[in-house]
Amino acid sequence: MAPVPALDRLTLSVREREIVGLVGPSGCGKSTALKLVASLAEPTGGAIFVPGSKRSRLGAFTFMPQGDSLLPWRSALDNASLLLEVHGAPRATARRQAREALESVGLGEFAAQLPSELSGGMRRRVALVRSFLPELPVLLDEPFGALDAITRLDIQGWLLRLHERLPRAILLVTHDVDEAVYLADRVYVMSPRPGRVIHEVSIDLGRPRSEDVIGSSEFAAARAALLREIRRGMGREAA
Amino acid sequence: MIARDVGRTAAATRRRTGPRLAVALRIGRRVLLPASVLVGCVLLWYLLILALSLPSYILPTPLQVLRALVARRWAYLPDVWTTTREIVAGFALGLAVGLPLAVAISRTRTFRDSLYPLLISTQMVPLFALAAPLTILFSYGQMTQILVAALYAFFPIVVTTADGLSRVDPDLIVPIRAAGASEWRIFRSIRMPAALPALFSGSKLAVTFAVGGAVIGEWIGGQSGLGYWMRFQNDSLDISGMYATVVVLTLLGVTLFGIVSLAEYVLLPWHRRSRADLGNLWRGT
Repeated sequence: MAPVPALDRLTLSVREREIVGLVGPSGCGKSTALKLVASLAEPTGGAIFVPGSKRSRLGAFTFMPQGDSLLPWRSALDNASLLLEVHGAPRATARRQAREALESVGLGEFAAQLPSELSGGMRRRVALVRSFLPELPVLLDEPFGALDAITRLDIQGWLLRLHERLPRAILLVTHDVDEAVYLADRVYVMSPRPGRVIHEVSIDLGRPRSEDVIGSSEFAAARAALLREIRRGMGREAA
Repeated sequence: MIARDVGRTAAATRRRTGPRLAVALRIGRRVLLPASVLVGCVLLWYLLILALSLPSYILPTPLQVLRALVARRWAYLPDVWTTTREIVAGFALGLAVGLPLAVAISRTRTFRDSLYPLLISTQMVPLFALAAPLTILFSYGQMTQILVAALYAFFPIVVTTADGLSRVDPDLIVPIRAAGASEWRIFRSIRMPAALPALFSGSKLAVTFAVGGAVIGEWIGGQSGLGYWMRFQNDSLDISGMYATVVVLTLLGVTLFGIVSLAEYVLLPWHRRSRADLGNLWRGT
Protein backbone atom coordinates (compact mmCIF):
# COMPACT_ATOMS: atom_id res chain seq x y z
CA MET A 1 0.00 0.00 0.00
CA ALA A 2 1.36 3.38 -0.94
CA PRO A 3 1.79 5.78 1.98
CA VAL A 4 -0.82 8.55 2.16
CA PRO A 5 0.75 12.01 2.25
CA ALA A 6 -0.34 13.83 5.40
CA LEU A 7 0.45 17.36 4.28
CA ASP A 8 0.76 19.00 0.90
CA ARG A 9 2.21 22.43 0.05
CA LEU A 10 1.35 24.15 3.29
CA THR A 11 2.26 27.83 3.47
CA LEU A 12 1.64 29.74 6.67
CA SER A 13 2.68 33.17 7.81
CA VAL A 14 2.42 34.75 11.22
CA ARG A 15 3.37 38.39 11.85
CA GLU A 16 4.79 39.86 15.03
CA ARG A 17 2.20 40.01 17.84
CA GLU A 18 -0.34 38.23 15.66
CA ILE A 19 -2.44 35.26 16.74
CA VAL A 20 -3.09 32.91 13.82
CA GLY A 21 -5.42 29.95 14.05
CA LEU A 22 -5.04 26.69 12.14
CA VAL A 23 -8.30 24.77 11.95
CA GLY A 24 -9.50 21.77 10.03
CA PRO A 25 -11.25 18.43 10.41
CA SER A 26 -9.61 15.92 12.73
CA GLY A 27 -6.81 13.96 11.10
CA CYS A 28 -6.00 16.70 8.59
CA GLY A 29 -2.46 17.03 9.92
CA LYS A 30 -2.75 20.27 11.93
CA SER A 31 -0.71 18.97 14.83
CA THR A 32 1.78 17.29 12.51
CA ALA A 33 2.29 20.61 10.73
CA LEU A 34 3.01 22.31 14.05
CA LYS A 35 5.53 19.62 15.06
CA LEU A 36 7.26 19.91 11.68
CA VAL A 37 7.58 23.66 12.11
CA ALA A 38 9.20 23.16 15.52
CA SER A 39 11.50 20.36 14.23
CA LEU A 40 9.86 17.99 16.74
CA ALA A 41 9.15 15.70 13.78
CA GLU A 42 10.99 15.23 10.51
CA PRO A 43 9.14 15.08 7.19
CA THR A 44 9.37 11.66 5.48
CA GLY A 45 9.63 13.52 2.20
CA GLY A 46 9.82 17.10 1.00
CA ALA A 47 11.17 20.09 2.85
CA ILE A 48 10.18 22.82 5.25
CA PHE A 49 11.29 26.40 4.81
CA VAL A 50 11.19 28.86 7.65
CA PRO A 51 12.78 32.15 6.55
CA GLY A 52 15.74 33.17 8.66
CA SER A 53 16.21 29.88 10.48
CA LYS A 54 18.64 27.03 10.17
CA ARG A 55 17.92 23.43 9.21
CA SER A 56 16.89 22.48 12.71
CA ARG A 57 14.44 24.88 14.27
CA LEU A 58 14.82 23.47 17.78
CA GLY A 59 15.21 26.52 19.99
CA ALA A 60 13.56 28.87 17.48
CA PHE A 61 10.00 28.41 18.79
CA THR A 62 8.23 27.69 22.02
CA PHE A 63 5.95 24.68 21.83
CA MET A 64 3.09 23.89 24.18
CA PRO A 65 1.59 20.41 23.75
CA GLN A 66 -2.00 19.41 24.48
CA GLY A 67 -1.42 18.61 28.15
CA ASP A 68 0.11 21.23 30.44
CA SER A 69 3.27 19.06 30.74
CA LEU A 70 4.34 20.71 33.98
CA LEU A 71 7.10 18.84 35.79
CA PRO A 72 5.52 17.42 38.97
CA TRP A 73 8.70 17.88 41.04
CA ARG A 74 9.11 21.59 40.24
CA SER A 75 7.08 24.35 41.87
CA ALA A 76 4.86 26.58 39.72
CA LEU A 77 7.67 29.16 39.74
CA ASP A 78 10.37 26.70 38.69
CA ASN A 79 8.13 25.30 35.97
CA ALA A 80 7.48 28.80 34.65
CA SER A 81 11.22 29.56 34.53
CA LEU A 82 12.20 26.23 32.90
CA LEU A 83 12.34 27.35 29.27
CA LEU A 84 14.24 30.54 30.09
CA GLU A 85 16.83 28.34 31.82
CA VAL A 86 17.05 26.06 28.80
CA HIS A 87 17.62 29.13 26.64
CA GLY A 88 20.64 29.94 28.77
CA ALA A 89 19.36 32.48 31.28
CA PRO A 90 21.08 32.16 34.68
CA ARG A 91 18.77 30.45 37.13
CA ALA A 92 18.36 33.51 39.37
CA THR A 93 17.48 35.75 36.42
CA ALA A 94 15.03 33.19 35.02
CA ARG A 95 13.36 32.80 38.38
CA ARG A 96 13.08 36.57 38.87
CA GLN A 97 11.50 37.02 35.44
CA ALA A 98 9.14 34.11 36.05
CA ARG A 99 8.13 35.47 39.45
CA GLU A 100 7.39 38.90 37.97
CA ALA A 101 5.33 37.33 35.18
CA LEU A 102 3.36 35.11 37.58
CA GLU A 103 2.68 38.08 39.84
CA SER A 104 1.59 40.29 36.95
CA VAL A 105 -1.05 37.75 35.93
CA GLY A 106 -2.34 37.09 39.44
CA LEU A 107 -0.54 33.79 40.05
CA GLY A 108 2.05 35.17 42.47
CA GLU A 109 0.66 33.53 45.57
CA PHE A 110 0.82 30.09 43.92
CA ALA A 111 4.49 30.36 42.94
CA ALA A 112 5.66 27.88 45.58
CA GLN A 113 2.92 25.29 44.94
CA LEU A 114 3.57 21.99 43.23
CA PRO A 115 1.50 21.25 40.10
CA SER A 116 -0.42 18.53 41.99
CA GLU A 117 -1.65 21.26 44.35
CA LEU A 118 -3.10 23.36 41.51
CA SER A 119 -6.39 22.98 39.63
CA GLY A 120 -6.39 22.06 35.94
CA GLY A 121 -7.05 25.69 34.97
CA MET A 122 -4.20 26.99 37.13
CA ARG A 123 -1.79 24.42 35.72
CA ARG A 124 -2.67 25.54 32.19
CA ARG A 125 -2.00 29.17 33.15
CA VAL A 126 1.42 28.32 34.57
CA ALA A 127 2.20 26.37 31.38
CA LEU A 128 1.19 29.38 29.27
CA VAL A 129 3.39 31.74 31.30
CA ARG A 130 6.27 29.27 30.80
CA SER A 131 5.66 29.33 27.04
CA PHE A 132 5.40 33.13 26.82
CA LEU A 133 8.51 34.02 28.80
CA PRO A 134 11.15 33.41 26.11
CA GLU A 135 10.86 36.12 23.47
CA LEU A 136 10.05 33.65 20.69
CA PRO A 137 7.06 32.78 18.52
CA VAL A 138 4.72 30.43 20.37
CA LEU A 139 3.19 27.26 18.88
CA LEU A 140 0.08 26.08 20.75
CA ASP A 141 -1.23 22.59 19.96
CA GLU A 142 -4.87 22.45 21.08
CA PRO A 143 -3.85 23.90 24.43
CA PHE A 144 -7.27 23.84 26.10
CA GLY A 145 -8.57 20.52 24.82
CA ALA A 146 -9.21 18.69 28.07
CA LEU A 147 -10.77 21.56 30.03
CA ASP A 148 -14.45 21.97 30.83
CA ALA A 149 -16.34 24.62 28.86
CA ILE A 150 -16.36 27.35 31.53
CA THR A 151 -12.70 26.96 32.54
CA ARG A 152 -11.82 26.93 28.87
CA LEU A 153 -13.58 30.23 28.28
CA ASP A 154 -11.86 31.75 31.34
CA ILE A 155 -8.44 30.68 30.15
CA GLN A 156 -9.03 31.86 26.60
CA GLY A 157 -9.81 35.33 27.95
CA TRP A 158 -6.81 35.08 30.24
CA LEU A 159 -4.57 34.11 27.29
CA LEU A 160 -5.69 37.26 25.45
CA ARG A 161 -4.67 39.40 28.44
CA LEU A 162 -1.35 37.55 28.76
CA HIS A 163 -0.76 38.21 25.07
CA GLU A 164 -1.33 41.95 25.61
CA ARG A 165 1.28 41.92 28.35
CA LEU A 166 3.78 39.65 26.56
CA PRO A 167 3.01 40.07 22.86
CA ARG A 168 4.27 37.10 20.86
CA ALA A 169 3.52 35.74 17.41
CA ILE A 170 1.23 32.76 18.06
CA LEU A 171 0.28 29.87 15.82
CA LEU A 172 -2.66 28.09 17.42
CA VAL A 173 -3.85 24.68 16.27
CA THR A 174 -7.43 23.98 17.31
CA HIS A 175 -10.47 22.04 16.19
CA ASP A 176 -12.73 24.42 18.05
CA VAL A 177 -14.19 27.00 15.66
CA ASP A 178 -15.35 29.28 18.50
CA GLU A 179 -11.87 29.24 20.00
CA ALA A 180 -10.29 30.19 16.69
CA VAL A 181 -12.69 33.12 16.16
CA TYR A 182 -12.40 34.36 19.75
CA LEU A 183 -8.58 34.30 19.87
CA ALA A 184 -7.21 34.74 16.35
CA ASP A 185 -6.58 37.66 13.99
CA ARG A 186 -6.52 35.33 11.02
CA VAL A 187 -7.47 31.68 10.61
CA TYR A 188 -6.16 29.18 8.09
CA VAL A 189 -8.60 26.45 7.10
CA MET A 190 -7.13 23.08 6.19
CA SER A 191 -8.63 20.35 4.04
CA PRO A 192 -8.73 16.67 5.04
CA ARG A 193 -5.75 14.47 4.14
CA PRO A 194 -3.52 15.43 2.44
CA GLY A 195 -3.79 18.61 4.49
CA ARG A 196 -3.56 21.83 2.49
CA VAL A 197 -4.53 25.38 3.32
CA ILE A 198 -7.71 25.93 1.35
CA HIS A 199 -8.81 29.23 2.78
CA GLU A 200 -7.73 32.14 4.92
CA VAL A 201 -10.29 34.04 7.01
CA SER A 202 -9.60 37.41 8.65
CA ILE A 203 -11.26 37.89 12.01
CA ASP A 204 -11.94 41.62 12.34
CA LEU A 205 -13.10 41.78 15.91
CA GLY A 206 -10.48 44.31 17.04
CA ARG A 207 -8.35 44.21 20.17
CA PRO A 208 -8.40 44.12 23.09
CA ARG A 209 -11.15 41.52 23.06
CA SER A 210 -13.26 40.44 25.99
CA GLU A 211 -15.78 37.69 26.49
CA ASP A 212 -18.57 40.10 25.44
CA VAL A 213 -17.45 39.80 21.83
CA ILE A 214 -18.74 36.22 21.74
CA GLY A 215 -22.35 37.42 21.77
CA SER A 216 -21.85 39.98 18.99
CA SER A 217 -23.22 39.66 15.46
CA GLU A 218 -19.68 40.10 14.03
CA PHE A 219 -18.58 37.04 16.00
CA ALA A 220 -21.53 35.03 14.69
CA ALA A 221 -20.79 36.11 11.13
CA ALA A 222 -17.09 35.22 11.38
CA ARG A 223 -17.96 31.89 12.95
CA ALA A 224 -20.46 31.08 10.18
CA ALA A 225 -17.95 32.03 7.48
CA LEU A 226 -15.26 29.86 9.03
CA LEU A 227 -17.57 26.88 9.44
CA ARG A 228 -18.70 27.23 5.82
CA GLU A 229 -15.10 27.06 4.61
CA ILE A 230 -14.33 24.00 6.76
CA ARG A 231 -17.40 22.22 5.41
CA ARG A 232 -16.55 23.18 1.85
CA GLY A 233 -13.08 21.71 2.37
CA MET A 234 -14.63 18.47 3.52
CA GLY A 235 -16.62 18.32 0.31
CA ARG A 236 -20.04 19.05 1.68
CA GLU A 237 -22.02 22.27 1.95
CA ALA A 238 -23.57 23.41 5.20
CA ALA A 239 -26.83 21.59 5.83
CA MET B 1 -12.16 32.97 37.96
CA ILE B 2 -9.04 33.10 40.04
CA ALA B 3 -11.26 33.09 43.12
CA ARG B 4 -12.74 29.80 42.00
CA ASP B 5 -9.31 28.30 41.54
CA VAL B 6 -8.31 29.48 45.00
CA GLY B 7 -11.42 27.81 46.38
CA ARG B 8 -10.51 24.58 44.66
CA THR B 9 -6.95 24.61 45.94
CA ALA B 10 -8.15 25.33 49.48
CA ALA B 11 -10.58 22.43 49.27
CA ALA B 12 -7.78 20.17 48.12
CA THR B 13 -5.65 21.25 51.08
CA ARG B 14 -8.50 20.48 53.47
CA ARG B 15 -8.98 17.05 51.96
CA ARG B 16 -5.30 16.29 52.25
CA THR B 17 -4.84 17.38 55.85
CA GLY B 18 -8.18 16.03 57.03
CA PRO B 19 -9.52 16.30 60.55
CA ARG B 20 -7.04 15.18 63.19
CA LEU B 21 -9.23 12.27 64.27
CA ALA B 22 -9.19 10.77 60.79
CA VAL B 23 -5.40 10.98 60.73
CA ALA B 24 -5.17 9.32 64.13
CA LEU B 25 -7.52 6.58 62.94
CA ARG B 26 -5.49 6.03 59.79
CA ILE B 27 -2.20 5.82 61.68
CA GLY B 28 -3.87 3.55 64.24
CA ARG B 29 -4.96 1.35 61.39
CA ARG B 30 -1.41 1.15 60.07
CA VAL B 31 -0.06 0.23 63.50
CA LEU B 32 -2.90 -1.88 64.90
CA LEU B 33 -3.47 -3.99 61.79
CA PRO B 34 0.10 -5.28 61.44
CA ALA B 35 0.32 -5.64 65.24
CA SER B 36 -2.73 -7.87 65.34
CA VAL B 37 -1.39 -9.95 62.46
CA LEU B 38 1.85 -10.36 64.43
CA VAL B 39 -0.06 -11.45 67.53
CA GLY B 40 -2.01 -13.91 65.36
CA CYS B 41 1.25 -15.36 64.01
CA VAL B 42 2.66 -15.82 67.53
CA LEU B 43 -0.55 -17.62 68.57
CA LEU B 44 -0.31 -19.81 65.50
CA TRP B 45 3.31 -20.55 66.41
CA TYR B 46 2.20 -21.79 69.86
CA LEU B 47 -0.64 -23.81 68.38
CA LEU B 48 1.73 -25.46 65.92
CA ILE B 49 4.07 -26.54 68.74
CA LEU B 50 1.15 -27.89 70.79
CA ALA B 51 -0.60 -29.61 67.89
CA LEU B 52 2.51 -31.33 66.49
CA SER B 53 4.26 -31.55 69.89
CA LEU B 54 7.45 -30.14 68.29
CA PRO B 55 10.61 -30.36 70.42
CA SER B 56 12.39 -27.08 71.18
CA TYR B 57 15.43 -28.03 69.05
CA ILE B 58 13.16 -27.87 66.00
CA LEU B 59 10.85 -25.00 66.99
CA PRO B 60 11.28 -23.28 70.35
CA THR B 61 8.32 -21.40 71.83
CA PRO B 62 8.08 -17.63 71.37
CA LEU B 63 8.79 -17.28 75.10
CA GLN B 64 12.04 -19.28 74.82
CA VAL B 65 13.12 -17.10 71.90
CA LEU B 66 12.26 -13.97 73.86
CA ARG B 67 14.32 -15.22 76.81
CA ALA B 68 17.31 -15.91 74.57
CA LEU B 69 16.90 -12.44 73.09
CA VAL B 70 16.83 -10.73 76.47
CA ALA B 71 19.73 -12.82 77.77
CA ARG B 72 22.06 -11.58 75.03
CA ARG B 73 20.56 -8.10 74.52
CA TRP B 74 23.58 -5.74 74.34
CA ALA B 75 25.89 -8.51 73.21
CA TYR B 76 24.18 -8.32 69.79
CA LEU B 77 25.35 -4.79 69.18
CA PRO B 78 28.87 -5.47 67.76
CA ASP B 79 27.42 -8.05 65.34
CA VAL B 80 24.56 -5.72 64.40
CA TRP B 81 27.16 -3.06 63.63
CA THR B 82 29.25 -5.46 61.49
CA THR B 83 26.25 -6.66 59.50
CA THR B 84 24.88 -3.13 59.08
CA ARG B 85 28.20 -1.97 57.63
CA GLU B 86 28.22 -4.85 55.15
CA ILE B 87 24.61 -4.24 54.11
CA VAL B 88 25.14 -0.51 53.65
CA ALA B 89 28.39 -1.01 51.72
CA GLY B 90 26.81 -3.76 49.58
CA PHE B 91 23.78 -1.58 48.91
CA ALA B 92 26.00 1.39 47.99
CA LEU B 93 28.08 -0.78 45.66
CA GLY B 94 24.88 -2.18 44.12
CA LEU B 95 23.68 1.38 43.56
CA ALA B 96 27.02 2.48 42.09
CA VAL B 97 26.99 -0.40 39.61
CA GLY B 98 23.23 -0.54 39.06
CA LEU B 99 22.59 3.11 38.22
CA PRO B 100 25.00 3.42 35.26
CA LEU B 101 23.78 0.05 33.96
CA ALA B 102 20.17 1.24 34.18
CA VAL B 103 21.03 4.42 32.28
CA ALA B 104 22.90 2.45 29.59
CA ILE B 105 20.05 -0.02 29.21
CA SER B 106 17.39 2.67 28.94
CA ARG B 107 19.40 4.76 26.47
CA THR B 108 20.53 2.26 23.84
CA ARG B 109 18.88 -0.77 22.35
CA THR B 110 22.25 -2.47 21.90
CA PHE B 111 22.94 -2.30 25.61
CA ARG B 112 19.46 -3.49 26.45
CA ASP B 113 19.59 -6.46 24.11
CA SER B 114 23.13 -7.47 25.08
CA LEU B 115 23.09 -6.79 28.83
CA TYR B 116 19.64 -7.71 30.01
CA PRO B 117 19.86 -11.50 29.49
CA LEU B 118 23.25 -11.49 31.21
CA LEU B 119 21.92 -9.52 34.17
CA ILE B 120 18.99 -11.88 34.57
CA SER B 121 21.29 -14.88 34.52
CA THR B 122 23.41 -13.41 37.33
CA GLN B 123 20.33 -13.78 39.49
CA MET B 124 20.05 -17.48 38.64
CA VAL B 125 23.50 -18.23 40.09
CA PRO B 126 22.97 -19.49 43.64
CA LEU B 127 25.05 -17.07 45.65
CA PHE B 128 25.71 -19.81 48.21
CA ALA B 129 27.89 -21.40 45.56
CA LEU B 130 29.67 -18.13 44.88
CA ALA B 131 30.30 -17.21 48.50
CA ALA B 132 32.77 -20.07 49.12
CA PRO B 133 35.27 -19.19 46.34
CA LEU B 134 34.88 -15.49 47.20
CA THR B 135 35.84 -16.28 50.78
CA ILE B 136 38.99 -18.02 49.56
CA LEU B 137 39.78 -15.01 47.38
CA PHE B 138 39.21 -12.42 50.12
CA SER B 139 40.17 -14.36 53.19
CA TYR B 140 40.21 -11.37 55.50
CA GLY B 141 37.87 -8.45 55.99
CA GLN B 142 34.27 -8.19 54.92
CA MET B 143 34.73 -8.15 51.16
CA THR B 144 32.86 -11.42 50.54
CA GLN B 145 29.84 -10.28 52.51
CA ILE B 146 29.80 -6.89 50.79
CA LEU B 147 30.09 -8.44 47.34
CA VAL B 148 27.34 -10.97 47.94
CA ALA B 149 25.08 -8.21 49.31
CA ALA B 150 25.89 -6.05 46.26
CA LEU B 151 25.15 -8.92 43.87
CA TYR B 152 21.70 -9.20 45.42
CA ALA B 153 21.15 -5.43 45.62
CA PHE B 154 22.09 -4.24 42.15
CA PHE B 155 19.49 -6.26 40.25
CA PRO B 156 16.26 -4.64 41.51
CA ILE B 157 17.94 -1.25 41.14
CA VAL B 158 18.82 -1.88 37.48
CA VAL B 159 15.42 -3.28 36.58
CA THR B 160 13.24 -0.65 38.27
CA THR B 161 15.41 2.34 37.32
CA ALA B 162 15.78 1.28 33.68
CA ASP B 163 12.01 0.86 33.61
CA GLY B 164 11.44 4.26 35.23
CA LEU B 165 13.82 5.96 32.80
CA SER B 166 12.16 4.51 29.72
CA ARG B 167 8.61 5.21 30.89
CA VAL B 168 8.93 8.99 31.15
CA ASP B 169 5.84 10.72 29.77
CA PRO B 170 7.00 12.07 26.36
CA ASP B 171 4.74 15.12 26.78
CA LEU B 172 6.95 16.27 29.66
CA ILE B 173 9.93 16.36 27.30
CA VAL B 174 8.31 18.09 24.30
CA PRO B 175 8.51 21.73 25.51
CA ILE B 176 12.19 21.61 26.49
CA ARG B 177 13.19 19.63 23.41
CA ALA B 178 11.47 22.27 21.26
CA ALA B 179 13.44 24.88 23.20
CA GLY B 180 16.61 23.24 21.93
CA ALA B 181 17.68 21.42 25.12
CA SER B 182 20.53 18.93 24.73
CA GLU B 183 20.01 15.22 25.43
CA TRP B 184 22.10 15.64 28.59
CA ARG B 185 19.92 18.54 29.71
CA ILE B 186 16.77 16.49 29.05
CA PHE B 187 18.25 13.61 31.02
CA ARG B 188 19.26 15.82 33.93
CA SER B 189 16.13 17.96 34.10
CA ILE B 190 13.47 15.43 33.20
CA ARG B 191 14.36 11.76 32.78
CA MET B 192 16.35 11.35 35.98
CA PRO B 193 13.95 13.19 38.33
CA ALA B 194 11.01 11.39 36.72
CA ALA B 195 12.72 8.04 37.36
CA LEU B 196 13.50 8.77 41.03
CA PRO B 197 10.32 7.15 42.40
CA ALA B 198 11.23 3.98 40.46
CA LEU B 199 14.79 4.17 41.80
CA PHE B 200 13.43 4.34 45.33
CA SER B 201 11.14 1.35 44.73
CA GLY B 202 14.20 -0.57 43.53
CA SER B 203 16.24 0.64 46.51
CA LYS B 204 13.63 -0.61 48.96
CA LEU B 205 13.84 -4.05 47.37
CA ALA B 206 17.63 -3.80 47.14
CA VAL B 207 18.20 -2.99 50.81
CA THR B 208 15.98 -5.92 51.78
CA PHE B 209 17.86 -8.27 49.46
CA ALA B 210 21.20 -6.92 50.72
CA VAL B 211 20.30 -8.08 54.23
CA GLY B 212 19.95 -11.63 52.94
CA GLY B 213 23.15 -11.32 50.90
CA ALA B 214 25.26 -10.10 53.80
CA VAL B 215 23.94 -12.88 56.05
CA ILE B 216 24.69 -15.57 53.45
CA GLY B 217 28.21 -14.18 53.14
CA GLU B 218 28.67 -14.25 56.90
CA TRP B 219 27.15 -17.70 57.28
CA ILE B 220 29.62 -19.14 54.80
CA GLY B 221 32.78 -17.18 55.35
CA GLY B 222 32.32 -14.63 58.12
CA GLN B 223 34.15 -14.19 61.37
CA SER B 224 31.56 -11.93 62.93
CA GLY B 225 28.13 -10.50 62.23
CA LEU B 226 24.59 -11.77 62.72
CA GLY B 227 24.91 -14.43 60.00
CA TYR B 228 28.07 -15.76 61.60
CA TRP B 229 26.27 -15.90 64.96
CA MET B 230 23.30 -17.70 63.46
CA ARG B 231 25.60 -20.33 62.07
CA PHE B 232 27.47 -20.63 65.36
CA GLN B 233 24.20 -21.00 67.28
CA ASN B 234 22.88 -23.44 64.70
CA ASP B 235 26.02 -25.58 64.94
CA SER B 236 25.85 -25.60 68.74
CA LEU B 237 22.14 -26.51 68.61
CA ASP B 238 21.18 -23.27 70.37
CA ILE B 239 18.01 -23.07 68.31
CA SER B 240 16.24 -20.56 70.58
CA GLY B 241 19.33 -18.35 70.31
CA MET B 242 19.35 -18.66 66.52
CA TYR B 243 15.70 -17.65 66.30
CA ALA B 244 16.46 -14.72 68.58
CA THR B 245 19.20 -13.63 66.18
CA VAL B 246 16.68 -13.95 63.33
CA VAL B 247 14.43 -11.54 65.25
CA VAL B 248 17.31 -9.06 65.60
CA LEU B 249 18.09 -9.42 61.90
CA THR B 250 14.44 -8.83 61.03
CA LEU B 251 14.38 -5.66 63.12
CA LEU B 252 17.56 -4.49 61.38
CA GLY B 253 16.07 -5.18 57.93
CA VAL B 254 12.82 -3.39 58.73
CA THR B 255 14.78 -0.41 60.09
CA LEU B 256 16.90 -0.15 56.93
CA PHE B 257 13.77 -0.42 54.77
CA GLY B 258 12.23 2.34 56.90
CA ILE B 259 15.29 4.55 56.40
CA VAL B 260 15.06 4.22 52.61
CA SER B 261 11.31 4.95 52.77
CA LEU B 262 11.97 7.96 54.96
CA ALA B 263 14.59 9.23 52.51
CA GLU B 264 12.04 8.89 49.73
CA TYR B 265 9.45 10.75 51.78
CA VAL B 266 11.84 13.59 52.55
CA LEU B 267 13.56 13.85 49.16
CA LEU B 268 10.49 13.46 46.90
CA PRO B 269 7.85 15.68 48.47
CA TRP B 270 6.02 15.78 45.13
CA HIS B 271 5.64 12.03 45.20
CA ARG B 272 3.93 11.77 48.59
CA ARG B 273 0.45 10.47 48.29
CA SER B 274 -0.76 12.06 51.49
CA ARG B 275 1.28 14.35 53.62
CA ALA B 276 -0.28 14.05 57.07
CA ASP B 277 0.03 10.30 56.98
CA LEU B 278 3.36 8.97 58.18
CA GLY B 279 1.91 5.45 58.01
CA ASN B 280 3.05 5.66 54.40
CA LEU B 281 6.55 4.82 55.58
CA TRP B 282 5.62 1.25 56.17
CA ARG B 283 3.40 0.82 53.22
CA GLY B 284 6.29 1.41 50.85
CA THR B 285 4.41 3.33 48.15
